[in-house]
Amino acid sequence: MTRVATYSTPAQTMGWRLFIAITCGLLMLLFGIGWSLFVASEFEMGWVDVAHFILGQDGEMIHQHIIKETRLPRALSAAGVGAALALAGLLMQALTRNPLASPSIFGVSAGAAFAFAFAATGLIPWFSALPILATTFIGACIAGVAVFFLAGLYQQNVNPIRVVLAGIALNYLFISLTRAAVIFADEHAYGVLHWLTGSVGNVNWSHVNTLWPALLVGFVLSVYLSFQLNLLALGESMMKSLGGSLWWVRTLAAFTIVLLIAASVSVAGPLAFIGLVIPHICRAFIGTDIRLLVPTVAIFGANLLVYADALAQLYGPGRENPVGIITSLFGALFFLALVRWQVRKAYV
Amino acid sequence: MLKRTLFLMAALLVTTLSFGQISVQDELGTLELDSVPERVVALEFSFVDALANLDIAPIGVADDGDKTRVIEQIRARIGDEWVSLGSRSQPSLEVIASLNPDLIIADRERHEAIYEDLKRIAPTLILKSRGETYEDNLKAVVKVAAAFDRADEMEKKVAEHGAKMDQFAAQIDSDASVMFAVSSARGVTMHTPKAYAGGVVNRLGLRSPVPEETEDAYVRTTIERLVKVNPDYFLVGEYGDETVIDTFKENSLWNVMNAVKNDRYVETDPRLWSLNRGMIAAEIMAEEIIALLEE
Amino acid sequence: MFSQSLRQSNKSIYIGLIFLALWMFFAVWHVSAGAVAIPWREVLSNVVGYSDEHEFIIMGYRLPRMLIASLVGASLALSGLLVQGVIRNPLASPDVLGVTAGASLAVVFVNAMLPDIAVVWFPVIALIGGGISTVLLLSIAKPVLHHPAALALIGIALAAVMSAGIDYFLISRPMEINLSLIWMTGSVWGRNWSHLPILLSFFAVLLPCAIWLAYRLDLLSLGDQTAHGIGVDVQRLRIVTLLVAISLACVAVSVCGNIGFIGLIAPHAARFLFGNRHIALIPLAMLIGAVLLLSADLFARILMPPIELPAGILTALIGAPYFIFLLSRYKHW
Repeated sequence: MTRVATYSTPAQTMGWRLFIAITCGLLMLLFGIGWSLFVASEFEMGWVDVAHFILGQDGEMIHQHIIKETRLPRALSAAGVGAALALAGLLMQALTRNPLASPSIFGVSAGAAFAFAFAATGLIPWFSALPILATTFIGACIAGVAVFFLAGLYQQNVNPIRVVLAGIALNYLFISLTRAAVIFADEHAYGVLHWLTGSVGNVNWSHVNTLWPALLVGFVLSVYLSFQLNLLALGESMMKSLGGSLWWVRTLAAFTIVLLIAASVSVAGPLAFIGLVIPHICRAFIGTDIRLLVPTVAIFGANLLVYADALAQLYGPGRENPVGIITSLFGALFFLALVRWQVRKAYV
Repeated sequence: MLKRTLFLMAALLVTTLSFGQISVQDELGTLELDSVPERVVALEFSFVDALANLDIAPIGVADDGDKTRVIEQIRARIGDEWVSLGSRSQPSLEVIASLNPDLIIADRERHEAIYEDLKRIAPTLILKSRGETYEDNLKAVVKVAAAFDRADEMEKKVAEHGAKMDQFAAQIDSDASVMFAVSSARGVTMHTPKAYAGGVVNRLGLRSPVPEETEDAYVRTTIERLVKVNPDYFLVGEYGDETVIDTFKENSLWNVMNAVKNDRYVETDPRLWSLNRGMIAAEIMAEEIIALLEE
Repeated sequence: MFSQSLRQSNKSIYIGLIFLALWMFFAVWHVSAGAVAIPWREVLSNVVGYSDEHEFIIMGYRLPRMLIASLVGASLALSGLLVQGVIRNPLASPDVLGVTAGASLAVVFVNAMLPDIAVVWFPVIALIGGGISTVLLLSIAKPVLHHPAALALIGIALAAVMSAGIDYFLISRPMEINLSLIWMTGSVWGRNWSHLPILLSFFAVLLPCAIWLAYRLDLLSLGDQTAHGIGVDVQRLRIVTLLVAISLACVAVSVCGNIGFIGLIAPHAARFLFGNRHIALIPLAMLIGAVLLLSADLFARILMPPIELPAGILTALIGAPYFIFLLSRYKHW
């Protein structure tokens, strides 16, 4: 009904665009995962090995083992983390109606990472004994609540820039706390960088097994929420008049966001800016309908991280480069450009 | 005339005095000492090994707050009465100063930034330790001994050590490749021939599976590269209970490695193989390797 | 009228004295506390040269460190005061605007490329880096210079780019861990007498400049039009003030790394206590900045000896909540 009015493009063209985007995205993702199954290997591996693997043939035994035991879980983790962060970013932007909202900028990722590092100090034994996902979930929750209150998200018509500034300050606070915890836990302080720059270098199937169920739950919830969030985009009063429950949407969305972020941080550490970049790129192609954005964003988030990890291994400065140094460099540039654009739109 | 005589006498006095002086060329300059030092502080474990060879007990050691990081065999020779100076990367200058040392032995890589401060506390001998090769270490121990005016004695000990290592090498009749790696909660790091443990392995006439041209002493590795390197004997020192090598073991690639297939994967003491670089440690390492090869 | 301003200046003097006493309190505590406990009496007799029992610990280690922490804190505070005065932006400070991150990036870059470079060059390199990032900031934010929050946001985004660059260099060319920590968060560890001459000589030039600017900045706070009417060359004043502010921040960075939030908090606290007269604000803001960094470094040293935390972590723990508090008080969105 009224929803249609918000779309800038007719529904039919939109459908085509969505179809093309999702098809291209999936093809790219498949290619990217296939590529990353052998790229930058010490062994002479190639598409042949991937083909052997897919067809279940007996190829070179070691190559098959490598694909099955290290490359595939790594690619799936990268894809899952990318999708989870991008979805979390989309939900945050929709929920706060703030184009700069994202897991890393609002400090939620950093909160999860801090919980992770704090558990490593062993100061509170029962906290260290929790499963990693539970630990990061608690951290992300605390950070989320802190952002909600400190950044003033509970207020009506709060200035978006104020929210972003407060979020960044919180992010900084959690990063500093994480550094302190790492120095305390590690006594040598060498780990600081490796803890704070996300990486999928040492993942195995157990990480995939934690990540993907959480991602699937998060995805289903996101699909469900996308209808409500579309209403919310029209304004809170409009949403209420159409029978949506603001409180319910907020709570459920917050839960989904925290779950997705916790899952991705527990696997790859705090990877910055993916949750910011992907929703914006997708919106440029697909428009603002959140129902369409949810699958697109997930697929392109996965794409981004799979390719970024492969490229980091190929062209990075050393061997075994954490993918985070690439994504945060380009992500920060994107953030700067986006800020410039948003600020000009708001003030000039 | 009187003035000139006085001047001449003073000059003579100075030269005779300087005969009694000890002078050692180190990494950043020349260490000058008037007398043999008695209160010695060591900021790396390799220097403790060197001191133990001379039966000198240091009064302070940067032992990362844990005395057992020095291996038992060395503690048996020099006791463990020293004061802990904190971590090796940030030793507490205050504690060092409070000990009133008359010689500080520091590591070029870790302590160059505080070299000036250390010199203000006491004469400082700055040598290679972190990232040193086996050969570097043999040169460094002689310099340590030179600070106590016992360089000749140490050179004899180095020669004896060389003879011992030759004997060990003669016992070994194998072209197997041997590699040591360290595993912590953050990752697994291979020690190449440029690292101390790799140097000892080479000294015994054994191959390192890592190509010679590798420039880095320590190389971070994934399980994939480990399988490529594929050592015949694989020794791992673990820092902590749960480290990355444990996740490698769950991987089916782990069983592809020669060392694992032939049951030649050994968990060993990282203190001996990585921290306590020196002649005493090298001989114990050699004995371990021979025992391993004979199994 | 007269008695009121007299009372005002009396109050200023009292507050100034209180902060001076606070600084002295922390200074004495800083010099007497640490991994080796030394009673303050012995500290005093060492400082006046009466005894030399702990000569190195006090004169060679803690005293220079205390002085450096105070001076760096003071320069960051002064820099923040000037920046806030000239852009009339309560959210501005050299770190929020990305200037200090740019300076750090420049030093890390040069350090990674030429590992043997002498420390003397660091301030120069930091100045170049800070200057470049300021020019970048001004060109990107040109249309929104008068919107404090927007400017702050662009500055923070710029700082994010710079810190990502710092992380990139630290990972790709691993440095000694102490250096890495300094460039990541800012720290006073291992700083000694040799760093003081650089700091002092810059300070000796820049502080008089700041005092010279103080009266003009008061005029500027009346508004561009009024200031222009009185005969102030507004444009030139802005540029000169920014230059002085950036130099102060960059020299501080070249010694202690990227220490956050002091340039933001100290001038605020000073304004809150003192009003808007820059000539009075300068000493007070400097004192507050010195107290902040000095206490941060003190607690960084004594929380879990002999392991130390970088002081920058502690300033962030105070500074980030204060920044959020500022945001909630700020009304002109």
